Amino acid sequence: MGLFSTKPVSAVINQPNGAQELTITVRGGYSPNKVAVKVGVLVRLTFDRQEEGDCTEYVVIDEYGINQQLPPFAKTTIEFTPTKVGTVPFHCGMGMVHGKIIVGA
Amino acid sequence: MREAVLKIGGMHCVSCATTIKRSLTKVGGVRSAGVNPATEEAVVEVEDNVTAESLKQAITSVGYSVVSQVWRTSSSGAVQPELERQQKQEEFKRRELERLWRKFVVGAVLSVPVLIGSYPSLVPFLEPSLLPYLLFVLTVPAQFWVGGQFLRSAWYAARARAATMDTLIALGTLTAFTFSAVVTFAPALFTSLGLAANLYYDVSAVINTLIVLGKYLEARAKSRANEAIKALLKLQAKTARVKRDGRFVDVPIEAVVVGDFIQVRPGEKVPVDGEVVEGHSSLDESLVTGESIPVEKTKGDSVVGATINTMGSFVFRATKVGSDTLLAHIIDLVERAQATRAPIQRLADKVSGVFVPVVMGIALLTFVVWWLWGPQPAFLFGLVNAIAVLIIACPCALGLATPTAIMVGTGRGATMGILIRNAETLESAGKITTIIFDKTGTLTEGKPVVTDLVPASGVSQVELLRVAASLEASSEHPLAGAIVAQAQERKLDLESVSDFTAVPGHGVTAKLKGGTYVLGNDKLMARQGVMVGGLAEQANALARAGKTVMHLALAQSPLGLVAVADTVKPEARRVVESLRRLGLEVLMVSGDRKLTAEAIGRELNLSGVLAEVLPERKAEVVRQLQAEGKRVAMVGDGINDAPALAQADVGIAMGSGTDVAMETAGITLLGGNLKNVPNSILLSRGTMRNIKQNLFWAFFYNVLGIPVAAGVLYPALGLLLNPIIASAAMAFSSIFVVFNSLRLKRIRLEGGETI
Repeated sequence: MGLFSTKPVSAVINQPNGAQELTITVRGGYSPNKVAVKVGVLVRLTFDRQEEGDCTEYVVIDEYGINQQLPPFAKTTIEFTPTKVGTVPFHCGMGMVHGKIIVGA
Repeated sequence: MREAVLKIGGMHCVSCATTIKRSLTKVGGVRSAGVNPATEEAVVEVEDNVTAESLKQAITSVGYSVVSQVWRTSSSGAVQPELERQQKQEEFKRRELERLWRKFVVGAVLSVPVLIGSYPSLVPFLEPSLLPYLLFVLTVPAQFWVGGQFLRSAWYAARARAATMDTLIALGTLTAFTFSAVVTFAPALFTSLGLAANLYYDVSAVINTLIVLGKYLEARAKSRANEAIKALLKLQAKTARVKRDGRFVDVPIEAVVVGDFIQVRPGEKVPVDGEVVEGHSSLDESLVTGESIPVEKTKGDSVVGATINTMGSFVFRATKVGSDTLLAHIIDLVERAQATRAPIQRLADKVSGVFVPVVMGIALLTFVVWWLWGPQPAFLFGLVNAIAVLIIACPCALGLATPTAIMVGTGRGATMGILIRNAETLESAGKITTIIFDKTGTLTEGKPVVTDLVPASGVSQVELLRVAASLEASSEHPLAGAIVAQAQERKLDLESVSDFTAVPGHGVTAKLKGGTYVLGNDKLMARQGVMVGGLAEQANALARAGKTVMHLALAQSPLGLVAVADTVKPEARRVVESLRRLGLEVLMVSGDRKLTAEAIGRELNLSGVLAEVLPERKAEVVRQLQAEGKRVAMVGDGINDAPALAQADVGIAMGSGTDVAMETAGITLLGGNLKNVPNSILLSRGTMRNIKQNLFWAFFYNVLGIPVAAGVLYPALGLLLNPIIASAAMAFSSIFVVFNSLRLKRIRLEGGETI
């Protein structure tokens, strides 16, 4: 039901070391659930999971082969480098909770 | 960048965690901090210059204490902290299990009287007008404490505008509870509208309890699914006997550094990877070879951490420690593989992604249709059936179907020395039609041995071998090595030769006790004018059998023949047979001459042989077979044939378990256990079959359950699904899937477990 999502796109914080970093809170959904990043630059997303229900136990980014377990009440960081411009969806293990990474030039 | 894991004392609630986290993040150099109230530990990621003291102070300043701390740098990540992390996760899971069990017990204690009380005729001694209030009091904790986790998760999801599995459970039970509560406290609200007013406290209490029980059983079964990693971690030695200041002292494994001299006594585990510098012993290397027969080790031999010293004491120099050891690599590989997703899962994802909203729609439709067109009391029929739809539809089983099977399948492989890179490999390995062996080191021993000694009349076998070996003693050719090794095995004394000349591609000549000897192929004999005469026929017969034949002659007179061949591994024939029984085309690719390769092909009963293939053309051979529509697995040592392994649909590297092989191959077979080739195929097929069973069950259950719950069978058969039965079915479907996956632990494979 992410269809009704009205949250704006969040920009990443560019670190001096060149990485694009952002923390996403996981609680029933992803907050923020839209992230804008630049193509070709390392992205480091930290998922701060503040719940224990089964649904959000994994975060999946099919396009980058990521399927990461998120232990409850802890932060887990994933890294990838976007290879092409476009929209990359990410979702929970069962595809019920959604987010988007918008890769720009 | 480093990471500290701090065990914190004095925590008693979730808000403590928030306080500690806030305090930690204020320390300069702290990049991130997470505090887990369940395990009572903080994981802090810091810049290298941050001290333990500053973190400790941040925690004590807000009123808590630091019980213990573990540091790890992002580059090391030794096996030991990994073990601790695992143990902590275990601990968290154990508490979670206890909590679920407690909830179930309380839920059951509340549910039984609620269930009985829902039939007033069973409790005639109770005042009927008080009964609803009693049931309400009993149900409140069942709905809000036992089922609290579903409500909380559903609430979070709702706030994030998402709908999850918990949404369905929460919606179903809350509807039953809320309706009953309104009937209890304001019955007029319904009766004035001409609606029947029934109580459904039992639906709320029993469903919450049953689903908690389901979660409990599921969690227990799931923890059994991941025992492989635990088994691997337990292999790691905890201490090492390291030479410090001239004496051997026991130190914790984390303190071992590269270059340390480590003593291993009989019965002890080798703590890290290294090279023997002193003493000799035999080691049980079943971890890396899959064979439990001990292997002799002496000075200069490499040893692998976690293998077991059987007898004898030795000292070795550590060459790899912590996360660089083979064991650490294996654990890492298995762990990563278990977390990958099989392509087949995308189907399940597509379904579950739209599942919840669709089910909510069906529930609403069910309610409306029953209310408008159903028999009296229509409103109640609609309500109960809508609840049944919400409850039975939970797609938990769909979510568990693939990952649990992958976890058990890859774990089972790891315990047998079969390392599967990811779920995708597992899926392709189950579908292959053709398997190609790179001959050397897979089907054959990879080193030639003397197979035949044919002396000319008047010459003894021993004499023939002695002279041939004496001539070859200073040659570096592999065939020469085979002859010398054979002489050594027979304990023959070799004689020294002079004027040694190697004739490349032909053989050697040398002087021995004044005579000029020639050892080499028929071309060399022709060149030297040797008349091989009667031996020629025997030479041809040996060559037809795939052997390399060398003639020995003194001046122009022949002394005999020495035949050398690469011998096939003793188990190779049976392995080929197993593979062919699995319906696979079994081929061998080799750089050998056609004759030699074909002889091996006949001996092993291969489907075909590709001879005289240069190493760099092996990938091309794979590509050609693929172009014919075949799905190809390539078995090789992973080093010389890496391109072919990469080209194949599934690359199977066997042998050393080297890093190179583990990086390129889809499947790595530790050690030289050839039986694991058919085992890999059996395991992959078994896992895929299991996943399909799981997915079928999960789909079938929903496809069947939802319409029945909605009441489609009512007009014809008068059949309706009580929401309580629906919840039992829902819990059962998840448990069924997990238990079905656990069956993979017992899938029939050849050869025993190594762990």
